[in-house]
Amino acid sequence: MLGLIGFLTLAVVIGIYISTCYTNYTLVPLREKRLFVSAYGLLGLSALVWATTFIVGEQAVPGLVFASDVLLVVATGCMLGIVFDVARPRIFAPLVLAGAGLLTIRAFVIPSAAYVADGLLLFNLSQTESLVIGLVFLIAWLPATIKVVYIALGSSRLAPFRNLVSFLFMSVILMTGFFLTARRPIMIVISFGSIILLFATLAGVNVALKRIEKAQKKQKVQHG
Amino acid sequence: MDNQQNNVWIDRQEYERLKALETRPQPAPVVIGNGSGAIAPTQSSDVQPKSSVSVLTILTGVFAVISFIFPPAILVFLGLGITSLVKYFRGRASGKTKVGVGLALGIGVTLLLIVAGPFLLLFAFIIMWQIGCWTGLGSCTTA
Repeated sequence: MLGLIGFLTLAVVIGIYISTCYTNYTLVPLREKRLFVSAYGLLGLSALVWATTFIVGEQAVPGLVFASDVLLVVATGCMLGIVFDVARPRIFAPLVLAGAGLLTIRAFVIPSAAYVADGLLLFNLSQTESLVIGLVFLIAWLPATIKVVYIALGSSRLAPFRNLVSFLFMSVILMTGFFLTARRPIMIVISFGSIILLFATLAGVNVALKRIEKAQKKQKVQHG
Repeated sequence: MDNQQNNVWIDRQEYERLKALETRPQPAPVVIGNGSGAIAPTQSSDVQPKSSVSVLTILTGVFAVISFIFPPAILVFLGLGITSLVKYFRGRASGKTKVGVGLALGIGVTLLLIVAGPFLLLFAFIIMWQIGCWTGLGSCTTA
């Protein structure tokens, strides 16, 4: 029950966060903004899928976790679309191959061994799987997020916040990595709590930054 | 001559300052890649011409990745986060208010540490647990 409430809370917080991104990141080009919002939206959708693991029977848990893996692979594709020009066939083809390959391996070679215990969802990943997740974060999520943050906070008024907001985003990605690879219940609880808190903080920061920019613009107009 | 073709007398120092401003190279327009090429450059006083990623952000990113592979490195990652925070507040403060900002920041961080103390201890416990597990000095038996 606790896990179900936790994942539902996470999905709601991510939903609020992406809506603040969509309305406040005015400097980010529409294409990049849509990809960024889609990637985090798919992460929120994964949280909903993880929430259903507490409702269905134990046998359905690995299948649902595989469904969330598909969502996360698509989300990673969105993030790669921010960093690389995926419209080029030379980039698009290897990316599709890599994504399909990863999912095939996940479905038939190393199937999900996730299970629910003590009201917690344990992904039960091996060291190799953890390393693959680390690599995905390094290549796709981290650079794409930093790129979007730097464009979104491109105005001279918001530029001083870049390091801080980047740090918050990196913490979110790191904690998501910890959460997916955690084996101990205490690590799962701490990393999960941190993810919810960080997304809530980022949503608050998005709203605050917009207000700061508006207030400073108004001040500038008043002073001539 | 000013821009309205009037004769205006200014002192030499002011003339040199204005001349230097005129000769200073104009900032390059911001071009944001959008995957399928680049969008039209936008030149606005609000937009910063340079948007290269700072060394601090790169270091934080590097330590975020290292922390994922080697969890005790999270201490350095957190340290870099605090550095970003301090850098931001110090950057905003003017010369006169720097001491005040430093004091306020010190008091704020102390209060925060008092409140967050128990959680930090728990966190420190997990880090020590991880170090023990990695070095083989402690146990990793808890599933």
